[in-house]
Amino acid sequence: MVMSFFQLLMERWDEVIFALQDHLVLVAIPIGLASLVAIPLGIIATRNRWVELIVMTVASVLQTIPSLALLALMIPLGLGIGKKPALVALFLYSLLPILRNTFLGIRGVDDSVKEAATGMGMTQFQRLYMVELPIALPVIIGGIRTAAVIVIGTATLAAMIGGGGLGDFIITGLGMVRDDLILLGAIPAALLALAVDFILSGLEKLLTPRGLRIPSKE
Amino acid sequence: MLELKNLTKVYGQAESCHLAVNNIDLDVDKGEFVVLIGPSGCGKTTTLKMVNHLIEPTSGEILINGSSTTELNAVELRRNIGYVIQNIGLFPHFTIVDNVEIVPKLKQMDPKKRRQRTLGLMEMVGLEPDVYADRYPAELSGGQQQRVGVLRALAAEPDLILMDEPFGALDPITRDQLQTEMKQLQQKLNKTIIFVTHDIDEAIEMADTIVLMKDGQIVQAASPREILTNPANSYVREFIGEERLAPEPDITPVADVMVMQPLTVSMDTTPKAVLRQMQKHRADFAVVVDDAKRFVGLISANQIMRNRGKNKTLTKMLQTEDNTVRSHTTIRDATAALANEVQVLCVVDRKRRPVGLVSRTTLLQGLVNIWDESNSNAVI
Ligand SMILES: Nc1ncnc2c1ncn2[C@@H]1O[C@H](COP(=O)(O)OP(=O)(O)O)[C@@H](O)[C@H]1O
Ligand SMILES: [Mg+2]
Repeated sequence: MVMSFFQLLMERWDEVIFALQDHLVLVAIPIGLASLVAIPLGIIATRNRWVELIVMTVASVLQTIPSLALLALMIPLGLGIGKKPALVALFLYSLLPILRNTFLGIRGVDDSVKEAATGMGMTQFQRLYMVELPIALPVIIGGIRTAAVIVIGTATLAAMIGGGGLGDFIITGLGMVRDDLILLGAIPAALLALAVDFILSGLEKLLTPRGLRIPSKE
Repeated sequence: MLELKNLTKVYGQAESCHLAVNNIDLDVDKGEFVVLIGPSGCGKTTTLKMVNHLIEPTSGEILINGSSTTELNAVELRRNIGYVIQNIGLFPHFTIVDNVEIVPKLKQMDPKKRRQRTLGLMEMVGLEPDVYADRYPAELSGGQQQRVGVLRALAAEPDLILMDEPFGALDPITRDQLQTEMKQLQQKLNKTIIFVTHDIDEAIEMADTIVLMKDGQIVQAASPREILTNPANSYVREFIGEERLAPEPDITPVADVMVMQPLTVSMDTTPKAVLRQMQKHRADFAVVVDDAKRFVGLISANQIMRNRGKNKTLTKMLQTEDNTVRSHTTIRDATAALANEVQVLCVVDRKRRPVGLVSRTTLLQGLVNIWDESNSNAVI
């Protein structure tokens, strides 16, 4: 079987590369859009209890819907099949980790540091971008990382509603009962998840302010 | 410089409301070091934070240099009031220099000038700029962080500085050192400081005026000396602690302050011999005693001199009044007994044997000494 897998990989290399790129699109676009939406929402949630309640509830509910069910739900919701419903479903799916980490990251900034910021005469906005965001940044990146790893996995299911990506191999392989075809989708997807996780965790460390990397003396 | 008028803060609403600060009035002069003190929860922090509008008063007014702060822009106001918060609260992602310089930066002061000032300030409190300028708060000890917290409040040269238990979490030695530094700094720069603490020794050490609070109200606002000598009520006495209280004229016995072992002479001593003894002992007064060593009278060098050449015996020159008090007589009563013409009283025991002398001066000096002693004990 190992032999037949490598043979297949050689034979269908171009197809695999194409599916991988397709898969990346399925991951990058939802994650990018979700970041644009969830980070500001997470910040607003720390400022307003009502926003916090609504936003967190909605995002948590979305997260509890099984991924396959959420993808399938796109069809009756009028989005049909193909890339678009897949992107929408994956976008919704990545909201919560980013939202939650942004919220917790900013909420987690030491109260005395926040009080100092306001007490020194920073405006709300200055406090946010000079103090809260830099300190919360590693946590926010952590949220994006979690979302990305989840979405890379979930995106393999997007093929079920015609979303394309590496899931195409898996579904075909399941239908034809061909392990080598399944592996052709599953192995690159796993490697992709590992690589993205590695890169984003590197970014997380890189963006951690130096003063926060020092173990405290106390 | 700073006036609080009928300042009140109520937290919460309706039944669950809590009167944290209750109708406070306070006047603070320029250059004054005011210490707010009281048990936990008495409203010190709330009062302090209303001054820079971190907390909005429920009612009442805060005037700075005569004008109400409610109409001022809160952000602008805070940039002009130094603030040292209770838990230091340094920005962990800023270097020490950036921490100290934050307010000058917000006020867009000249970068070169503000850097110069920052480095100067660091030197002033013993944080060698070459070593510490580019370090981060996490790399500093607690005492060093506290210093940075204080410098951050000083950097933009505000006239008014608020400090909320700034030395709370320090070991006693560092704390002592910072207290001394802070007091010197304040006197040098002539800053007005409102300082919150719950430590009475710290208050006595640093304050020009101590404001003692209880349940959101001011119980007494006075100089440390006044509070120690004239506590307004039993709450103040208790809070200060008996061991720190100044001796009270009403309860302190003369035995605590008298000059002991007075010069005594027997009745048959010649005036000339008495004078010689006075010279030898550097005494202005001698107690004349009978054979049983009991008090007969007091004689002063002046009296002997006045009667010179008149050939009088000692007993003829004596002040004949019974100028004696017992050792348990209070300072207050002794002072009353020292009527105008009586300069000195002899303190005698049960058998009227002299044990000491007191004059107006010794009474006063004694009081001051005891006060100083209890005061310095309190500080150590
Ligand atoms: N944000 C708040 N909400 C409700 N009650 C508060 C709040 N802050 C302080 N209090 C209450 O107000 C009182 C005074 O608090 P505070 O000024 O912090 O006292 P202190 O600084 O003297 O310890 C306390 O009883 C405290 O519980
Ligand atoms: Mg407090």
